[in-house]
Amino acid sequence: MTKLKRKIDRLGYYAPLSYVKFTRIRFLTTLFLFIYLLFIIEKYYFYVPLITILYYNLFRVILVDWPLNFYVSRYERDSLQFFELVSLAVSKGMNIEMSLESTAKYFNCDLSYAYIAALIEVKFGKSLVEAVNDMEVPSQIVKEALVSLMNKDMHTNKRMESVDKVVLKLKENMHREMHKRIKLVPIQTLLLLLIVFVPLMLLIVYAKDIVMLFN
Amino acid sequence: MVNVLDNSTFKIGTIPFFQLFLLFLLIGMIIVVHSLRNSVRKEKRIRDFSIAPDTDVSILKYYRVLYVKFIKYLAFKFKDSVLLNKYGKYYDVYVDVVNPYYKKGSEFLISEIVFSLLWLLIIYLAFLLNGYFLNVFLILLVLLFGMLFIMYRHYKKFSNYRKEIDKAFYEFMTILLAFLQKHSFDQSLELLINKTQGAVKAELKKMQVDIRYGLSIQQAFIRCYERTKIHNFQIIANYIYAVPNVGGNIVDSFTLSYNTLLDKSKMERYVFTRTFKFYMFLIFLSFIPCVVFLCFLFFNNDYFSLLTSTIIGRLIIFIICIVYIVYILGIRFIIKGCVRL
Repeated sequence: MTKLKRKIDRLGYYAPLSYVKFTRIRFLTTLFLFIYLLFIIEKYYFYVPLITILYYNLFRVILVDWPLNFYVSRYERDSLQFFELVSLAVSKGMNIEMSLESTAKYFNCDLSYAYIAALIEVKFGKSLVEAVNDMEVPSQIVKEALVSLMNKDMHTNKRMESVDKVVLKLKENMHREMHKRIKLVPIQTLLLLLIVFVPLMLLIVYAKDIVMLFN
Repeated sequence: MVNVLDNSTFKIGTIPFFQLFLLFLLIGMIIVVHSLRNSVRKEKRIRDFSIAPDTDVSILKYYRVLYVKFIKYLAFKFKDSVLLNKYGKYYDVYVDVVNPYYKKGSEFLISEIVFSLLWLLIIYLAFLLNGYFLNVFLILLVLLFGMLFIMYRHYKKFSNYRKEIDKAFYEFMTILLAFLQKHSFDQSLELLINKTQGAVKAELKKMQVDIRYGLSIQQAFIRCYERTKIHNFQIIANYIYAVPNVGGNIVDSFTLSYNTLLDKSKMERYVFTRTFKFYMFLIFLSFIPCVVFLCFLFFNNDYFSLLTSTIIGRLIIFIICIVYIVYILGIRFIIKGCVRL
């Protein structure tokens, strides 16, 4: 399985294109772009392959990487609420299995849908631990958190601590992502200014000269 | 644009005729206003010795109500049109917030179209006074600007309403939790309505109407979300549905939602304080192309004459507009990407 196919599987229902369609459309459009640019650009042939390589990579980045990042952040945010409900249920006296099942039934979240699919597999003979290990979850941290709940302390009085650990871990992860995004902002501003703002100002100031060049 | 000022001709259909017509209109308006002022002056003498009427409507309000009646008449005539109803649904959110006169979304749409036509009328007359006719291209531009102006005005009022609720959300949740410890939800809602003011009060009143009609609390919060499009209401609605089935009561659901929303607001505030200067820098820079353009025009009127006359110049204008729009979309992307927590 290639990296790209794994990423599209992680997106699941929210993928804009399937793997096969994606590769075919990308290949054909880059071919046509290459030939079209060769016909248009008469003097500077050197830039045509660079543009096609840029387009080839941007196609993947815009359609797969960015949606994946947004989806994973939303998934982790929703799974935090899921586990807070689980901790509430456990504090009222339920064990972990029943609390997970009840939250999955009544809280609409992608994690809950995946957990219900795992419970259906349990009906057909799998054990709970196997089904949870085989679940398809886009973010690694949520899967590790779920697997850590399936331990020997599942039915003892220490189950509350394990659930609290999971909730803490996810909150720390959200803080880490927040700091990452704060660090990205100056880089993004610099890129915006260099790529968009400076050509804008140059166009406005030297518009007259450009027109006289072509005439 | 065509300049047809000709001192010798004085026939019907030429520019001087229109200018004279407008002059007489202006004189007539001045006479009407003068007569109205005289009547007001006479009424002032008797006001202290007479009873005020039931319908105390000022003159401008009277004309405003006439305008509103015209738009409602148009909405009644076109009520079966599919297009109006389809695009009027997007404006249903503005009903009680932006304008108290309109009760449907399609009326907002019609008011925008009528406003843009009036905008065109005024600008057309202004150009006529100076002796210029307008092209089809310029007429479309003027209509576009009129629509954009009024749409922006409506949107700005609605977004101010939403921002008020966003700012006061944390406060009203704490007070609601405090009341819920001792009272039921209905009682605490009523006490909240007496304590709050402004947009939050209006929104809570609508919620109270929904609950007294018979809807559940979850549905009341979902309808709030559909009206204001604030994500916090949806979170509360999800918790109100899930928590009683999991083993808690309504107070537990509100405490859980309060904790999650508190964390979320803290993180958003932290991000905003750390990245505020970059946003301000970018937004400040977005005004500079316009300033530069106007400075160039100020010092030399014919600097950009080549751009409008040649084909390459118009292409360059098009490219400048696209790059400017890309810049603004980039700012929006940076701001949105960092606050999505």
